[in-house]
Amino acid sequence: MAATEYYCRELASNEIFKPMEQQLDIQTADAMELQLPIAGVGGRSYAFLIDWHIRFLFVLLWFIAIPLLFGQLLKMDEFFNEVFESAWWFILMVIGPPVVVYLFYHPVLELVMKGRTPGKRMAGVRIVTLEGHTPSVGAIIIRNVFRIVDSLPSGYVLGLIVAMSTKNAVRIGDIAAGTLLIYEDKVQKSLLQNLQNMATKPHIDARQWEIANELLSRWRSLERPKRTQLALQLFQNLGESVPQDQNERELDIRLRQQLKRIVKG
Amino acid sequence: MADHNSDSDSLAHWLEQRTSQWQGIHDRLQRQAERRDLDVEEAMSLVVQYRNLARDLSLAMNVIPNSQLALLLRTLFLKTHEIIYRKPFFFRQHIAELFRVEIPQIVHDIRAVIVATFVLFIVSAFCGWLLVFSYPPLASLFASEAMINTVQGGKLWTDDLLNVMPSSLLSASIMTNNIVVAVTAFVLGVFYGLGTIYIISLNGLMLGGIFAFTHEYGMADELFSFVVAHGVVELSVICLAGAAGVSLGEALMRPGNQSRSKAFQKAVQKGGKLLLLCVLFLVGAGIIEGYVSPDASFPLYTRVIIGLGYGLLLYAVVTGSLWRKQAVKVST
Repeated sequence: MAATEYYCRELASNEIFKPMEQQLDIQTADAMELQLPIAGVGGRSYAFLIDWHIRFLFVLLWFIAIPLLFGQLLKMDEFFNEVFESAWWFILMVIGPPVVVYLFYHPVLELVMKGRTPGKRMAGVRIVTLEGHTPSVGAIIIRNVFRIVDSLPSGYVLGLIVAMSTKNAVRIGDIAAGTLLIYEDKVQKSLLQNLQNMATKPHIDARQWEIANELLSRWRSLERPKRTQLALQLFQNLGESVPQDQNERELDIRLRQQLKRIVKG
Repeated sequence: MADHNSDSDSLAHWLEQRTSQWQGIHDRLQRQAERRDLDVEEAMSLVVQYRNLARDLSLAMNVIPNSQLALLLRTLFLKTHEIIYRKPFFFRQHIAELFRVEIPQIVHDIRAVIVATFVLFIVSAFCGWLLVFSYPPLASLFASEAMINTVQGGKLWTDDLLNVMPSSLLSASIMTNNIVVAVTAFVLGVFYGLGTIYIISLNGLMLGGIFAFTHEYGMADELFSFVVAHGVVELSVICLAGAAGVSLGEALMRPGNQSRSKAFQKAVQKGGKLLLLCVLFLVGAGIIEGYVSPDASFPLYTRVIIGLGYGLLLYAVVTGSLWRKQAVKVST
């Protein structure tokens, strides 16, 4: 109980947590100060591994699918004729796309998705310039061209060492392009909608609502006894009636329903 | 308690008023972050919303600092800030200025390095030639078994190229290989220029060695005839890329009165533009190497004309004389 009280009070108080990661201090032209959390070596490695697996999977599936495709579309003797007549085009078609995808995955996706790739998205990081903006085309090309150096001698060892020793946790490609990686948490899609609903109910404290919102969004990632405890504590603080139920599962469901009512209005 | 209540009241009041505004900005950003043709009214309304967002963000950071709402506001703020403060980009003028002004300026700035790189290349080529001339068995350092056997049999290894691969594929693969070599030469300059020097001298050695090797079997003329059409530009471009790489190393070693990383970034931007030019010319050189060089029907004088002509074009673009009616001294 003491731990939950502490959690609820902390979030509701004016105290500012001191985050563990480095912050990128941005001062905008109109003297607005912002801080963005810089992603460390772990975040960047995690993102890269996911991206690598996606590329690898694509190449693997391609090499499985192509023989099947050719076997289906052409009869066997035609198939061999095709192969011997235009061996080079065949090789190009078989090897071309995987190579293109493998090499151009990062530059193209980072450009199109504005500094993200699927792997980076899953890891919760994003590429930004030193002012917090989306990087330009030139910056992304430079950043990716310098992968040649960063991946020496193998597996990005040089890049990782450089990232571990610089202030902003950047590799050589990032230094050259003037970019860095920041943590970017996903924002709830329904947040504004929920807020609009909440604002029309005057009896609930905004900070308490925030806690309720947070608890609801993390409901599934908590274990049942813990989330039951937190929800009960929250309802007690709000002065709301606490649902009673002997069955654990039932209680859990009803708690969630009540939480939803509070949050969504 | 009374304070707490009025606090939360004003908070709720604020949320009530501003949430619809934020929703509006959010939707607007989803829809039109990319458009660069907003009219004046739309742009001004964005600026007003940006200022309101700035106030909201500071408020949120003070009162509910670690909340989802503060995070959302920060994201919205950054996006609008970016839209308002991004630089204008006029593509055609940008490209024109790149070729007409920037590249000649860059080449002028690093002309000492370019000359030095060329000298390094020529000296390495001479050394390679001398090496293989004096000790013929050393040719195996630069040439594969198959190539050596072909040459000893009296034919150049490039004679049957067109029978093996169609020209288009040949030029595509050669182009790709050359571009990778040029880019690597540039990028390895980060090791204080040593990586680039290694690549340039290695290429020079190989060139000289191969020529000495073919000279021994009396086929140096044929090799020259094969190489001249594309080689002039290809080798010059590799040297240019190497010069860009060495300038990277210089920026790291002698940053002057700025920090090393700033000097490095500037050198990367300058060298990158030069490299863009190199890549373009390598595309042309690859096409020539795929279509003209292996084709026996082109006589020697045609190849020399093509080679020198293309080289002259490179020189004109690089010094900017192509775009100017009269020679103008580039400002120092």
